[in-house]
Parts: sequence; C-alpha cells; structure tokens
Amino acid sequence: MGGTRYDFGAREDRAKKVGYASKSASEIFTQNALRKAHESMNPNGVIFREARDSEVHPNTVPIILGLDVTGSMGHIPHELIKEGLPKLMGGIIQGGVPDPALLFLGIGDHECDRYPLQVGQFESGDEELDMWLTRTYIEGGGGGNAGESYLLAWYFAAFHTKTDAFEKRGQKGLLFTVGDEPGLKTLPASAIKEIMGQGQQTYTHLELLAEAQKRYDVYHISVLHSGQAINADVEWKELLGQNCLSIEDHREIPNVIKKIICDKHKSSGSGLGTIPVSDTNDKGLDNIQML
Amino acid sequence: MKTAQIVIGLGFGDEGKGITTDFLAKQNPESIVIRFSGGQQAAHTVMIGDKKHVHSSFASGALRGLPSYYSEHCTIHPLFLYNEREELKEKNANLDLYIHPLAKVTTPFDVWHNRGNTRNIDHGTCGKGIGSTMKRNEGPYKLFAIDLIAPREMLLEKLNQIAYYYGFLNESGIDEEIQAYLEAVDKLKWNIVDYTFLLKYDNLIFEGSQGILLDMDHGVFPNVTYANTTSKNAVEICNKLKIEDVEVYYATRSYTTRHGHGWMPNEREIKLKNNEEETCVFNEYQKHLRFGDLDYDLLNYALKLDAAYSPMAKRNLVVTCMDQLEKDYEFENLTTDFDTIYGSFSPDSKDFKQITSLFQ
Repeated sequence: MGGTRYDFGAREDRAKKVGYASKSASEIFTQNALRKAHESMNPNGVIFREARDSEVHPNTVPIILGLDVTGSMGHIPHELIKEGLPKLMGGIIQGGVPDPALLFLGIGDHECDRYPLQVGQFESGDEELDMWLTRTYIEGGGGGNAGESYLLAWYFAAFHTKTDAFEKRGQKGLLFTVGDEPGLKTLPASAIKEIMGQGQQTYTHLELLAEAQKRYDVYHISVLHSGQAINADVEWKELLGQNCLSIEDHREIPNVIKKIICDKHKSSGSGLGTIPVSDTNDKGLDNIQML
Repeated sequence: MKTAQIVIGLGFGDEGKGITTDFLAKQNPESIVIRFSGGQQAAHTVMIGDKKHVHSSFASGALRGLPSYYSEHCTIHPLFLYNEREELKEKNANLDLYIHPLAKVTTPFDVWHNRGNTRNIDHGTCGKGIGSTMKRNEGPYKLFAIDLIAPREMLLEKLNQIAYYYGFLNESGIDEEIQAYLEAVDKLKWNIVDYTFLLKYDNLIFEGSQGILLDMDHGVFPNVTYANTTSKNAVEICNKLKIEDVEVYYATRSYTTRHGHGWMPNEREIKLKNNEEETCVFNEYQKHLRFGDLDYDLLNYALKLDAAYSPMAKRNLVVTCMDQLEKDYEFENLTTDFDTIYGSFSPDSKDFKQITSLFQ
C-alpha cells in the first residue's frame, strides 16, 4: 500500500479504456453479480490496516471513507468511480496535501446485512484505489431497523488501523462516513465477534466515537434526499455538531471532503501532512508500541 | 455386557430418526435415550397407534415410556423444555429428563439474535437459537446446565452478561420474557448428572440430530448446522463408558429431502402418497420442504464418512417412507455391508419390515 502516486493522466486513460463512464454499476462492481463480498475485503481476522510513510509519500495523511452501501446509498460508489475519485484525490493534492492515503470501507447493517463491513487498504495510487472501490459489494440491503452500522467504521478505525501520521507525528487522520440514515446506538460484542472474528465487549455509539476520535477527526456526511434522511441529519448534528456536513447532492461528496482536508491543512499551524516544527524526537511513550 | 445403538441421519435431516429411535425403544424398554448433538430444534416424530408426538427437547423414547438424557454436546432451552413437558404429561409419556452439567443453555437473547440475523436465516436456521448459543459458548459468555442450579444470583449475573454481549443495554420490554424464562427454570426439576449416571442402564439408545450432510465439518458451508451430526460424539461417550458392543442405525428416507437453504443434488418435484402425517412443513425460517430422488453416491459418501468415526460398530440401514413412493430401489448400489436393512411402511414403527434379503 501507499507506494504509488495518484496519476490523473493514467487514471483518465484507464477510465476511458475500462469504460467507467458508460458501464452500469453492476458491470463495474463485479461482486454484485456474485452476490457476495470480495474475500480480500472480509474484515474477519484482519488485525490492522496500516497507513505508512514511504519514499514517495513521506508524510501520509490517512483518510478513511466509510460508504453506506445499502439501499439508496448504493449508487454513491458508482458516482465515485465515474468521476468522483479523481476529483477527490486531485482536489486534495492540488490543495497542498501531497500524500493522502485513502481507505474505503463498505458499511451496511450488522442486524440485517450479510456483509455489514467491507474493508479495503490505505492507498495513494489511482489504480489501487479504483481496485478497492470496485471490489466493494453493493449489497443494497439495509431495511428493517432504524439505522445503519456506521459505528462499524468507528470501531474499525479505532481498533484496527495504525498510521505513521499518528505514531510518528502525532497527527490525527480523518474519518468520514457517508449516509442517509441514523446510526445504530449499540454495537454488540456478538456482532463484532461475528464480523471481525474476535471481540468480547459491547460498545455504545458514544464510546466508539470517543475511541475513534483519539486518532481521527470524525465526520459524517449526511445526504439529505428524503424525509427520513432529514430527520437523521438532526440526530447527526446533535452528535457531531459541525462535523456533520449535510449535502443535498451526493456528487458534492468529493468537494466536501477535499475542502475539510485542505482547510485543516491551512489552519493547523504545522500543516497537515507536513512535519511539525516542534522537536520530533521527543514523543514520550506515545511512539512505543505496547504489545 | 452393555450395549448401545446409535441412530444417525444420512442426509440433511428429516430422515426418520424419531421413528427409528422408537423402533429401538420398543425392543429395549429398559434403555435410556441419549441426545448427543443439536438441541431444541429437533422435530422427531413418533407415532404409536393414535398417539403422536414431535420430540424436540425430550428424546424420542419419551412417548414409548423411556427416560431422556441430554449430553454435553447438546443445547437446551428451559422454556421450550417446560412447554414440551406439559404436552408430554397429557400423553402419559415418560417425563424423566437428565442433563449433563456441561450441556449448553439457550437464553431468550440467543433466540432473538438467531431470528434477527439475516445471515443466520440465509444459512437455514430454524430460529431456535442453537447456532447463537454454540457461538456464544465459544467466547467468555458461557451458560451451562449446571448454572441452572447454581445460586440464583450467579445465574442472574450470567444472564445479565449475555444480554450485554448481545447489546441489550437497559432496554425495556425484555424483562417480561426473562420472567417467563426464569419461571420455567423454577418450575422444572433439574436432574443434572454426568455420564456415570448412564452406567445404571444396560442398553443405551443414542438419538442423533439432523443428518450427516449438515455436519459442521462435512456439510457444504455455510448451510450447515453447528453440531457434529455423525456418530462422533456418541462413540466418544461409549468409549468413556467402555461400551464395546455398538450398532449404528443409519436412517434415510426412500427419497431425498432438505428443509432450509443450501446445496442439494437432484432436487425436483416427486409424487408422494400416504404422507398425511408429514410433520416437516412450511415454516417462516426454512420455508418449504424440498424433495429429490435418492442419491446412492451421496449415501455411500455419508456411510463411508461416518465409518471413520465409528470404525468398530456394526451397521444397519433403515429406509423410511417406503410406502410413499412406487419405485424400484437400487440398494445394491450401496458399498457398505449391513447386518440388517429395514424398511418402514407407515408413520408407526410397528410397520418396520426386515428387507435385508431383498438387497444383500
């Protein structure tokens, strides 16, 4: 992961060749025909997904994008692969953050869906990012209960990611979930065990949010395309305040994310994705892996 | 010398383990019937004259008057057990039920989890909480039969922890169900006894659950059951008790059935008669019973597989529902040698016929 650079020209050529613009979602998202998640995205047994620095990307900025792939949210990955992804990566890089590393998560419902969590890897290259995104199975389920398991993204970020940004530079990554439903309020140990293959503790959404916020700035992008989504948005605002971004057109997603990252870069004294001016050697115990 | 008979289903379940167990119970009235896999999901039908019972939490000797024993490999649900006990009481059945201390106990939380989880339903659950119970017992939130007679505070604390495990945090509306569950625990007399208890009996009848093709190690994942449905567990218990004279009775219908989702070969509509007593009917979780022709290759596979777990046993074959189909059978295609082959020609085990000479 992370050893390649985002190449717009190459991406454009490839997109044309593959026909992203003209193909239907089911032609691009090949797992949909198989009606199952890609084995490489199965989180069961995954210990960590890592965002490490490399020669090409010495100052990685870890970004997690948890996409609701249920019901009406299922067309968002299609939009991203058609034109959103270059906009997103291009925007971030042009905005002065040269080393973004993006991890896709597919989010469903742990009570109703067969694949409530699908995980990619942190990537910086266009080809790799396309691969993980198109490997995602758009299960399209959802349903029954009032909410989706966005808190699986928080759980995964909190307990199953490691980043050089945090470990070396003390910088938080950015975690975005995108959806149109309220979040579920509990993540039972039974569900975690079933999805991850391990887990003994039940978490409330507040506990998980606090855990994720230790290493990520947590955002939710609320897509307001229905009455239910507008109600859900109220809840999200109560929970995340200004970190809940509401949009009406899902095509705005790349712009919203780009803006947050670039603003953060400009406003943080040291700059996001650059080495802080302070003494980088003295980090106390934070830099030591506790095993 | 002590003897044992093991009843095993050769297919996907619903082969006639109930009627076969009753057949053996009738011949060995001083025996105890031992469940060694599965639990309260069983639906083993026994018909004796005009009396009929679908055994689930009691073993299939109860209607015939034999006591039941649940081994450590089984699950029990106190409320289901209590309800069945009430039914059996009216039918003058034997209500004696003994349970191994390490049998796993299902809670209402397991049942809710089982029914609320789409993946389980896809895998062919019957919604009685067995799979959830077995999975939960692999982690730290265990509950065993012995806990039912532990000090009440301890049982309550364990139930609290199980609620937590499933994410039920301070929710209203669950107290009532827990109340009914605890009342059932109180109303039942719990005979918690280990395997030494079985030494009192000269003959043991082991009643299998489901069928070999649903075995957790040998079925086609994920549409499998959370149990060893071969003779593995029964043979282990026989070994512990030093019983060497062991016979296996392999049950198959005269056609193939499967209740629930998942792979099954040569599925097709078949025309049946005399099947008014079929107890395996549509249910919300498994839908309709599926049918197909008898597959001799699959029978050979299951038989050879099971012999790996019971190498020293004598083997018999029971073909049930032979009155339901007009068909020439080709049992000469079977590669296992049997001591005896039986056919059943009605839902009552009195109509078992020895048909060995026809095929061997």
